[in-house]
Amino acid sequence: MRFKNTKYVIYNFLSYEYRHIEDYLEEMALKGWILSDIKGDFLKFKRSEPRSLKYSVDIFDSISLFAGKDNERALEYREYCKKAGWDFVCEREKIQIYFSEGSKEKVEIHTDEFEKFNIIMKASLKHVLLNFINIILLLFPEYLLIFKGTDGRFLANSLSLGVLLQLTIFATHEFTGITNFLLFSIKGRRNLYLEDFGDKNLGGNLFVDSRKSPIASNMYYNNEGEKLRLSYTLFASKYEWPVKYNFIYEVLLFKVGLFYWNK
Amino acid sequence: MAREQFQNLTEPMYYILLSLLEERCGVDIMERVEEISKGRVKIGPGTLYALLGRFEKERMIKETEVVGRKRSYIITDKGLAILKEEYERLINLIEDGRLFLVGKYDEV
Repeated sequence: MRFKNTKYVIYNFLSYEYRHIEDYLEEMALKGWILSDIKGDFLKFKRSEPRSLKYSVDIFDSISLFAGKDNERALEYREYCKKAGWDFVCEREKIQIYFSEGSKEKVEIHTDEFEKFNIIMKASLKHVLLNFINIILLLFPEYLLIFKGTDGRFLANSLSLGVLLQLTIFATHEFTGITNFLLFSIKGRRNLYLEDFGDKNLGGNLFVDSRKSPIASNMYYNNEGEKLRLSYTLFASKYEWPVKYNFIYEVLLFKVGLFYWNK
Repeated sequence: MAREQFQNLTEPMYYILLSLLEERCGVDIMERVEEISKGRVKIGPGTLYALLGRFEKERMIKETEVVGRKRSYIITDKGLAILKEEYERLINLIEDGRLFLVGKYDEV
């Protein structure tokens, strides 16, 4: 949608997709559209001179999803960023968007990639799980209607069919988000070993089960160390559907709060 | 796993703790770290904020005063002990390396 000097764009994204949106905002700034606000899925742009700006879409996990705007902690965080040369633009829940002149010398907001990965994982997981519960709750009545119903009369009802269609579209959209998130977490976690956590391998208990088919690959790692035990499963595929299919099982195995320091 | 997290300090952690030997406002740590390391180590605000939160939770640093939105911190005894331990570990690394590396340089 476009009014005189304002433009609204629908852009749906989750925390872990921050890179896409950074690129998109930089591209828009070069075309002379500067981001001014974000409301739900709508990005609001204002017309100005084409500028070379650098955007940083940051996840601030220290505030709750329901903290509201201009939370005290968020304001404090913004001062840290300002000091480092990043000016605040707008926020949506945990997502905070900063910009800086392209030529200006500055330090990246996150200088530690693993620290950043941990923050994004934590923030996204909550979001993704909420979405997942949402879909299940919405699809369950439809499932009852179609597979457990006593008759097929809903086929003669336009409203029922309409709802079914809408829910299917919605669920597909959400599932795509979840699948992408899963892929993101797999990419970020590839090749984590006990030694990476500063632990010593006691040996003898290492068990790696690695299987590969033309469709997908799976790896299971389990090792006992002096201080902790590390175990995880990696499931990867070139296609989307095997990952989707596997997701329902994998989600139970997700481990939150693993900290990864040195590499 | 909480305690084991800080057994080896990463470079940013080490420098943040060093700069908190004196009471300091959180925002000023970034500059101070750059100063101590002579511009070699740079810490981004996001990383700094996350680490400060974690240090505080582990009681390695404590909040001293709050002026407006600015919080100041200082290292605690526990933090100091961990920092010293790391310092000694690093010295050991250097000592061990010297045995092998310095001899070689002398020959050249």
